[in-house]
Amino acid sequence: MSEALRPHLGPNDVFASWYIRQERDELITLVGDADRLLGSQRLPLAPVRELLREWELQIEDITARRGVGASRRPPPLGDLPDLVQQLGACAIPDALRDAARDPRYRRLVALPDGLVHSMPIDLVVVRAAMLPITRVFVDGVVTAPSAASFVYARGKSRGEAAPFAALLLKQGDAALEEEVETVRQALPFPSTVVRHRDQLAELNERISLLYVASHGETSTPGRAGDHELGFDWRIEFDGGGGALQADDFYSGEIRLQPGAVVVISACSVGQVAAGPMHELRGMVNALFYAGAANVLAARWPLPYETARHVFVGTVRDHYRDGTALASALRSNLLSAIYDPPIRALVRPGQWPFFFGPFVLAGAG
Amino acid sequence: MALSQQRLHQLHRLLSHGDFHQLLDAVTTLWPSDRPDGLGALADFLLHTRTARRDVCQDLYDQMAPVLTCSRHDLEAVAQLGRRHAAVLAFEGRDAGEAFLRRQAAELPADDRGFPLMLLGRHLTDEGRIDEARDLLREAIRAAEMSVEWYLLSVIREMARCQLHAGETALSFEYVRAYWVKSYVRGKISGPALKTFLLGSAAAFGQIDYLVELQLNVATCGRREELPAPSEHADLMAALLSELGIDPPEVQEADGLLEAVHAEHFAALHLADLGKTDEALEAFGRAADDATRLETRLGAALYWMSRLLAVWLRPREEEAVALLAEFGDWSPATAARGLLHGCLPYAVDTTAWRRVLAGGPIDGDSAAHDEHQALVTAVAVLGRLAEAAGATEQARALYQVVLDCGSQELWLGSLVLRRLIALLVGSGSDDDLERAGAIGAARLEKELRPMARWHLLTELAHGRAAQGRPAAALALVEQAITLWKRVLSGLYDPRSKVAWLERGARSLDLAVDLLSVSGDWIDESDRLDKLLTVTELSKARLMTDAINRKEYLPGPFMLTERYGLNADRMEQAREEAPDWHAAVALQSVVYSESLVYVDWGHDWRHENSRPAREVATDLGPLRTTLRIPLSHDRELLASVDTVTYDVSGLPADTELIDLLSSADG
Repeated sequence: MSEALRPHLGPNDVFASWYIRQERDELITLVGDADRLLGSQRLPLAPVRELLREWELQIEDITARRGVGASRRPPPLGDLPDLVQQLGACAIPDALRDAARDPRYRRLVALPDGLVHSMPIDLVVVRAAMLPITRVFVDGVVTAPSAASFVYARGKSRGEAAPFAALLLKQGDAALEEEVETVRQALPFPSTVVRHRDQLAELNERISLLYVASHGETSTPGRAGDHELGFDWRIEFDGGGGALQADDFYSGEIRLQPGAVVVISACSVGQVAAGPMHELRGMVNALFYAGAANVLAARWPLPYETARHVFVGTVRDHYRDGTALASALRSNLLSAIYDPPIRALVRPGQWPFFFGPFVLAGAG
Repeated sequence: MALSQQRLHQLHRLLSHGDFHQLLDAVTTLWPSDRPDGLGALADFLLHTRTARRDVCQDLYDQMAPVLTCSRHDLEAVAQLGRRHAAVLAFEGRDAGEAFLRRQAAELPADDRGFPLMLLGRHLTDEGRIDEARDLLREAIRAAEMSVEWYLLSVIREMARCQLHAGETALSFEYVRAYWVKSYVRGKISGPALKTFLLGSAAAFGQIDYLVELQLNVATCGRREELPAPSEHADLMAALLSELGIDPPEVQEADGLLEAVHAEHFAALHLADLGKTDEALEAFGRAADDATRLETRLGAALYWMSRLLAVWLRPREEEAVALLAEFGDWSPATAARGLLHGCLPYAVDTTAWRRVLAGGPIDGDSAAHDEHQALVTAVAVLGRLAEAAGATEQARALYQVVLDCGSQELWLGSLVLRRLIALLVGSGSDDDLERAGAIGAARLEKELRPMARWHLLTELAHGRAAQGRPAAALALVEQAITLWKRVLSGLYDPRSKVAWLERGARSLDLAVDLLSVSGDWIDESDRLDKLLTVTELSKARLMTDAINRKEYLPGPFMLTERYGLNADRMEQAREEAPDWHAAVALQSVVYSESLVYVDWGHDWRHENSRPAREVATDLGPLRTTLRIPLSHDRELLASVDTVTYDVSGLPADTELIDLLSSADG
């Protein structure tokens, strides 16, 4: 049965798709809106790959020494802001750059492929457009691994069952406990704190918001078939609470309410997406499979302060005011950028590390 | 009501010569409005007047329409609704036809409502209103199961057609399978015929895992002592061979072991086409072992054929040399022995081989036929070794010998032809590309098996692309992708999926190559539309590949149970995929220990019917993996069931729709 992408695009949406051709060393991009396909462009893959490799190295450097000092390794291709600038020039097709400058388009639906998932598309596209961040895609950016998963998420997002939240908490971490408590207070519907995997299974198909504040990890990914893609990620419960893995969702043992929102918060859980950051894709797919329509997560580990500000604010605005998730994420990201305590944390040349990791996958 | 010959003659005479009033009088006498029996005959008669008397037919219809479309609840009138609907359609058009069926369905009691619902489903499928049709057919199946089931087979067939129009190839096949199983259970077809129809349908629908499982079942049963009667053996062999397009040889001494050899042999060839080389080699190994146990001349021929085809699949010179050396003990190869002596296996004189093979089988029996085929296969293997060693000219010459001398063996011919086309396309010269196109196109006309067609279409598309003919290349590769998806949709073994997904790259990559650059050969918006489709399909291919490599994930593609029904899974399927559940439930009889059915000997509706006998049937050979795939939305995440921009960027599988329609006819 074939379905179409077009009916799922709003009048102010533009979508961009990236497709990697390793053997041709090129990126094929396609851009379109709800009326028509605007254009395709072939971009050289090598410079994008180089820049993203450097990007990952710098993120790892910062993550490893966060709070200790600045990166020791001299960046050969420039610092993070330079990389954002360069990626804007070589990974953003002309049609998307033009769309970003066009105020008609308020939301971007990004369909990256492979390593492009690790690119902070929202920041990069702003640089490509050469406009202030406040004027580009003012309703936010939504990501999906493929057009099919976007359509899937849109179909799921129509659920109308009673809302209920489960908050996964890593025990013994005061900062996480505080974050979870803040979220619970912000929610206008019942919630429970989950400390064991089996507790989660008992809530099958009831959970409309799964908020994860725990540790995660991934295996070193290798090649699966002819594509670099790993799935071996896990979210830990401490104190013998077990762990969550992809097959818990694929096997149907853990099922969410259709259309559920999953938020993977806390700096440590960012490790889920560490390493080759497009690992996130495997996790997103598994959560979609379990019924989620939206997954809000981070591409790399990030400071508590930023995570709490953005994740908790987004959840609050979405559930209290009915703001669309993409829009809520964007406004909370902007307020984090202008928040003095958070700005104080940002070292020179590192602002993309603080404001670039957030990704909303799904229906938006 | 059956019209008497006298009355028919009278009506015919009036139709030819009488005026309208005379004709109307006769018709109203036969079908009075207060007792309108034989409404099917009335419908047939009115349809006949459209060709015989166009001047009066509409007036006559208008007069008789109230009688024709009246509501009658007796079984006979309900059973004739199809013919009555046909007349309404012809005289009043599709809207009136639909209204007629809807009214009948509304006025009939629940037990009989399924039949007009089925007709309505067929009507809506023809109109392309697939979702509505599917809902009605779903209801019709439930009604048919609740009643005496007299129209259940028709409903199943309509559901198969409807699902195919909806693009649900695998699900459509499940209904086709249910149709044959139910036909068998009701004694409408014999056991061998059931196998023929199941294998044939599976081949057409590209259900390769199922086909292989069924053939391996046959092999396992054949190896046991519980052999079917010799006559059934012969039928089954004929079924297997005809499914492969081979004229069945006369089998004089057929037994279970021989059946096992053939079944393993053909399972291996299917596995090889799929890209599961290791499993294909294992199956060829089992076929060779069984053939040895036959201890007959035919067994020897089959042994060599299995061994040789294993070398074809994995062309290693040392194995081939050792194998060909053994040919010396095999009498039909004596003439060829000298040709192999003292030189590399592939560096032989093709003229001499041509001379050896030109004679054909020495005598007409099955053993001679297979001995000759083994020799032809040996030449094909020489060509394969030559190709593997980079001696492409010699490979081409040897392949040509095979095609000239052994093309009657369709499968081997297909394998060799594919390699020859690949070599011609690979050479890139204008003459070779032209030749590849010509021989490939000729072969396509005869080739029905989806995997073989996919191979051919993909290679031909590459050839056309190399010739600088992108439009022709795109048309071919789109057909190839449709076939590739058809086969993929039928696979349920993760290893099969991984193998076939890998093969798909060759056609998808070419499609992306062709579409990634603008050109005056294609409208730009059409190009972008198709490019999005194939790039998304390519992404989905990789995602599906990654998921299927994780075999520990049991749920992403389907729930499978071997040789049994699991109540929990079935209940889950009922909720998540009701159409799949219905199709599987209809076949559930094959998971019984055995089937005992009552043969009534004649029409059960006859009031004096009495059971003639009870028949017990072993259902073991029919048991295969039970499939209850994902709901459609999950297919979007875990399969290549991807999305297009607007309307489908790929052509619908019209080839299969046409095939099913022709089977209907």
